[in-house]
Amino acid sequence: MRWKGFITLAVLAALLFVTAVFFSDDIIEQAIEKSGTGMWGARVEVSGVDVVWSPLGVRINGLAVASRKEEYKNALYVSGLKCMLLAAPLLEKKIIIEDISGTGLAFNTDRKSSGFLPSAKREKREKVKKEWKTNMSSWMQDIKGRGLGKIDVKASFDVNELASLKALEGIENSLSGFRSMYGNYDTSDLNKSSDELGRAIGMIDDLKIKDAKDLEKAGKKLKEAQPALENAEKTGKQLGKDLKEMQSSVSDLEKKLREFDDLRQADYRRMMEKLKLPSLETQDIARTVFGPLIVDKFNMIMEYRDKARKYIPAKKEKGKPEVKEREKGEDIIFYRKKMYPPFHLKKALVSGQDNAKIECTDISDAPWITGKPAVIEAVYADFSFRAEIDRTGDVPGEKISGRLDNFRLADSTGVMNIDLEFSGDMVKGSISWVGKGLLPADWASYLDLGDTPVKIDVSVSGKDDNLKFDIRSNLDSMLSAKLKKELAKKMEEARGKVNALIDSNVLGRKNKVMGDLASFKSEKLDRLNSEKDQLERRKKELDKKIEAKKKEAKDKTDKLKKDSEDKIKKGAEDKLKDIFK
Amino acid sequence: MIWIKLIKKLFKALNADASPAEIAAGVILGSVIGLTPAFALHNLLVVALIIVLRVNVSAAVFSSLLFSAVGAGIDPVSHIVGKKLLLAPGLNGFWTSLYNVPVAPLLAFNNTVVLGSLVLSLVLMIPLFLFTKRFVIVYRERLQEKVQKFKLVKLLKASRLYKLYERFKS
Repeated sequence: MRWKGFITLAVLAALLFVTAVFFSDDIIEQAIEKSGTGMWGARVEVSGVDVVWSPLGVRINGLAVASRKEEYKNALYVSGLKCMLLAAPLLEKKIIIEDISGTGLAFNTDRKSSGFLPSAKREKREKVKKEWKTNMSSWMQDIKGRGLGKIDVKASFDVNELASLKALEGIENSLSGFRSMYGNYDTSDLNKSSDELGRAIGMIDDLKIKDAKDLEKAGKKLKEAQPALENAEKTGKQLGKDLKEMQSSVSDLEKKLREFDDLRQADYRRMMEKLKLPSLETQDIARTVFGPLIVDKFNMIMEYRDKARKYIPAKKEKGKPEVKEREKGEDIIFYRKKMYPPFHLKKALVSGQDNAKIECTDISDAPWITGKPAVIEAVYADFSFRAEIDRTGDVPGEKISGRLDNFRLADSTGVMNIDLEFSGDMVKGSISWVGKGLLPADWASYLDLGDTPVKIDVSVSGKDDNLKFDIRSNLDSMLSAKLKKELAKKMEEARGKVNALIDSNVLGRKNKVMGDLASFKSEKLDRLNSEKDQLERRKKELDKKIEAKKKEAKDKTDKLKKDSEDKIKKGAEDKLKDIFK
Repeated sequence: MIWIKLIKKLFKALNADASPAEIAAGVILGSVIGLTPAFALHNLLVVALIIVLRVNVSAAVFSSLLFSAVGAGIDPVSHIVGKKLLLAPGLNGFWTSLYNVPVAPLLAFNNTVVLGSLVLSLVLMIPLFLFTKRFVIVYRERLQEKVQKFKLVKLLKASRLYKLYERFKS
């Protein structure tokens, strides 16, 4: 044993103790300020911290949380906070706060120094607000200008942009193409075949079978008629094939002509879009006017939600075995009778004047260990807010509800009501805002708004990456009526002009194409069809006549055969009778 | 300078200044620090033992440096040993009880590498102690004079740095 060693150890322990006693206040103060500022996004400051060793606790004096919107304001200020900690979990590097009680809570207090941190997000928000105002003004100017001035349709019209005209040109080319192809359709084979059939029919008609000599002649003539029949068959087949092709081409053109009407409508819409004539439907107006502001505010709520999910994560993100600093190795977790999360604030209640109150329960960075959802409630003169952060299941969920009497939207304040529910990446709920002075002055005077407050109701649903906003406002009908009054006549005129311009370029040509197609059909298709039918009829007639002649010849042959047999039989009988007489 | 002092003290200890058992004890305690992860809490206890017990501090420091180089290399082995022990069904009750002692989790015994390397260093303790003690005796009997003649030792002793150090010390 070395006694000097004991002394060294004792000195080291004493140094450690002195450091803990004298510097713990500063260490805790710095930790609160640094972590608070990082989480909140504006300065979090503490005037002083006292560590109480028995029972273990911390007294925090003058906690100021700076506002993120107003540079020289505190979002909240608490004059004194008393935190009671559990000592045993500290040995495991775990902070378990049994209770926080505070007094002197106040909101929106003044501060001497700036509470802002350099933040790109705040600049982005300002940009959204500024852009919204600029867009509102320019939109109004545009509408007014259009209402007063002339909507120059001709200047925006370009005949080369008409898709219906291009389609029509295509139809014209196709039509002229197969007009030249089938216009001089060679019918010589058809005529020749038809004549042959006529001659063959005449020949068969002239054929008379009276005696045996005529039978031989009839056989010859019937054989002579056969090639006419075969040629007619061949010609008929070819004609049928050509007619089928022609019919298909004509059907194709007729289909294109039917589609032409859709293209013409598309030309009309494109033209109206080019003229930038606004939609005067109520739902479109609300979305156009208030959409950017609402989406910006909703994105802000989503940022808070993401932050809550970062600091209070879902169980699945924490389930993996921890890897130690010296890489390799796994932590094997055993059952514990009393398992502490790394951080757990069991209960906090801070109160102040005007019934101001902030109450939190079960805030933890490992809520699946506490098994309870974190709840934050804040009440003040002009707002009440409740958030429930649930991580007890596998899917993270949050419920936010509240009413804020002085919520700023653009440059005006109003009453905001929120009721939102998040579950995993699903969002459902509603936000509403009622207030005055939201619209720029030129809008307010244009709408004769007077003291009428603006009310916006938004319902939101869907997934994070595909959210659907349904935005309604009491200004919808007012704006729609006003804008319609301002623009309806001009827009009607413009519509008429656009229609007339399109029609003047395409309607005449379309009618001509339709006429040409109809005449082609009647001239060629119908005529060839009737000639084909005639050929078929003649072919059938000849066929029938040949069959009839064949039958006649057969009957004649049979009769002659019977007659000669009868004659021979009779001669034989007579001879036999003579013999036996 | 501290390195020169350390090597000098080590040689001084080897050259009959300290008993072989003291040197061997220093080496085995140093080996525990070296073989296990540096910031494991049990190392505080080992450091306290080095300060309090009559062991050779230079040998302990030298040993901890030497074995920390070896320790990083045997981490995969430590991991396997630690995992087998922590997941052994027969030991589950013991580990669970230990895990429920408030300060025990600070020792990080439930980490496979920490436990594995600690067990390996404890197993090595007795053979290492016996080997070191024997080595010191053999060194003093047979190698001491030869080592003194090594060019490196002569060079070290003759160096200006060493002379300056000696002068400063006196």
